[in-house]
Amino acid sequence: MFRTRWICRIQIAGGINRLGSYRLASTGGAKIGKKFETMDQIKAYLSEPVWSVHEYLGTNVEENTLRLPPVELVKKLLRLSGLPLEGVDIEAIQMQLAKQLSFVNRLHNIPVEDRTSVEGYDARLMPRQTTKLNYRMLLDAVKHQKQDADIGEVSGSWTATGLAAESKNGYFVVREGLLKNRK
Amino acid sequence: MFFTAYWLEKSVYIINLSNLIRGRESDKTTTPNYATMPLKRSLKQPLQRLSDLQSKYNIFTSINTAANKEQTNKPLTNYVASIKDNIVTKDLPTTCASHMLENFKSPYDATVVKLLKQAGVHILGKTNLDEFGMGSGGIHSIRGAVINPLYPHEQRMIMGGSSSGAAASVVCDLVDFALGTDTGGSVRLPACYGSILGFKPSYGRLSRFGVIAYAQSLDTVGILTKKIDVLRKVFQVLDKYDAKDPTSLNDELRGLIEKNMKAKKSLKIGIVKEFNHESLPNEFHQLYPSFLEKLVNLGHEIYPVSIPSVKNSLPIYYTLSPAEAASNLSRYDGIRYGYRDSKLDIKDGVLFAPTRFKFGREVKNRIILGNYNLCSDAFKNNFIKAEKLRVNLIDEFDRIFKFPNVLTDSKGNPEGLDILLVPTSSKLPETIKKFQEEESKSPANSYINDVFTVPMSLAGLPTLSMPLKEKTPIGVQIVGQYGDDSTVLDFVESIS
Repeated sequence: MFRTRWICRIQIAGGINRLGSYRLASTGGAKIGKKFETMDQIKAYLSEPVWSVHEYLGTNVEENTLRLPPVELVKKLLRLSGLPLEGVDIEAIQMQLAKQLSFVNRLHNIPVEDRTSVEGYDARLMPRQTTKLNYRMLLDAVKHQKQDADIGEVSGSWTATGLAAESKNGYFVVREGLLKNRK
Repeated sequence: MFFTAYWLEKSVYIINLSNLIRGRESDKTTTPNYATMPLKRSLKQPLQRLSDLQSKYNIFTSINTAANKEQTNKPLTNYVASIKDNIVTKDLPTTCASHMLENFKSPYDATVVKLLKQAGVHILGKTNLDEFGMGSGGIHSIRGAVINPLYPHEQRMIMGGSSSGAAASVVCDLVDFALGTDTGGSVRLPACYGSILGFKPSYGRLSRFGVIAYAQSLDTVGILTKKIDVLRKVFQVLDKYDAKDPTSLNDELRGLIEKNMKAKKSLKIGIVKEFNHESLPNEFHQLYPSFLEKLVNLGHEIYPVSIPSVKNSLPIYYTLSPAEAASNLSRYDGIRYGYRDSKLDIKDGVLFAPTRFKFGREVKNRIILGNYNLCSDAFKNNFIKAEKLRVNLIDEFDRIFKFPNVLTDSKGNPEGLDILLVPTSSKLPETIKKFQEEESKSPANSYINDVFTVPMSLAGLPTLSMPLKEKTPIGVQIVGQYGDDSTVLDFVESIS
């Protein structure tokens, strides 16, 4: 229960551990409160919205208060994205990006939990602790490696240019060349 | 041309859908006569209804009416399925509902498709989606929007996305189940809007090999169906380590999860404070208490729980996923496969721009935002910050679950919860027109549709959206700890 009085109780319980019935499950930000005993308690808990997503993320800001990204930045992003610069509505992209950024830039003001070991790469949904590879393991892996025709590892099992719209003598074709006229 | 007709092998047809949609006399050499084709019994009925439903709801991008004459005793023999059109198949085109792959046909099957075929499943067709899986309405497709079959089609209500066609194929009973993909809620939201089950398993449980990447640290294959027993059977067939997918959960960790599993009759269930939004529809508040009362009467215990980091999930997600998308979609240059501009490869000094111009509006918006987040000016403040906050979120989930997390090495909280209940959607389906109007005001208006689904995607948790009432587009998500898919499925089975 996280109505005002419940939050208060939980904080006390976390600090001095004398309200034994309020089991606290963690020392960090996430907390489990006391079991609901009645349906009325559950209904009261559900009836109290605790935040507004629009307010928190600032999605209800007026267009004229947004800070537009400079035209040069938009052009740079279009080049990076492999998209043409001519014939596009730069102003519309500026506004679109400004709205997106007003939303994602909320991250700047959120503190990262005070833990020295927070590493960005732990965000991957992969095992955080892995065994270090050694030379023997690499040799073993090479020894047992098999070519898999399913993924095109067997020579001659597929034609690289088979799906290309344009090819010549088994090569891909880039019509204006890779380096000419590029910024 | 709206759709292309293909003639493949002796018994394989892909219907010219433009003919079906427009109801005109079709090319007799390419369009099969459904009534006389030697179809499996289980296929006859769906095919007869297909034409009518397709013209109303725009469900499929291509259809396979191949007759499977093989009489077998495989685990899923006689089951009919649809496959979202961002999962590659060698018998049918894979378009991602994009001009970029309009005529693309993969030389191989995705692992999940291969496993289904081996299990005896007949694949009825590929389903419509938001282009490359980017959208929550099911409207950003070169094939046009999918219409929600739960409503009269004249009302043109959104199906929810991005697995919009997958959900519609199940709602219409054309298939026993559908495969979709879920990056930030793309299976669960349309399942909710179609009043069916939509399951996003733990990240890495089902192979992503052959799933065209949108954001690879989040992409998950999901299952949509009306029946929990069907869902379980399909999950059982697909739940396997795949060496071809570097993010596939390995056998050692699968074994550890198995060891940690304990069947329980009474569960400790959490209701997350931060999901109590002002925006939840009244209909949800009317149905949800009765659902909880039913659980209490069955002997389950309900607890309040606070997970503060879930409030940050949307900005984290919309920083990381466009950045990954920008990287993944950079491969579409038109040179090796897919659409290619007929005249130019360079425009304004930008290589491949004439071809890449054909990406849809929403995809372009996300690529631009993704490249902004990856630029050196914003990388530290945006991308790295989002990754660290994602770690905080995963750690907070770890603190409230009893089940250990084999990825993070969390031993589990002995006093922790077994599952969480979370609403699936903050709104009811709206008309396509209204959805488009809201989205044009600000992209954030459609991003907010993901507010209840994204936190579990960021943490890779197994999550199943189930309807609170039959034929009503209001759902609740059942959420388990990473790897504890069984508890989620057991729970839903026990209350179904």
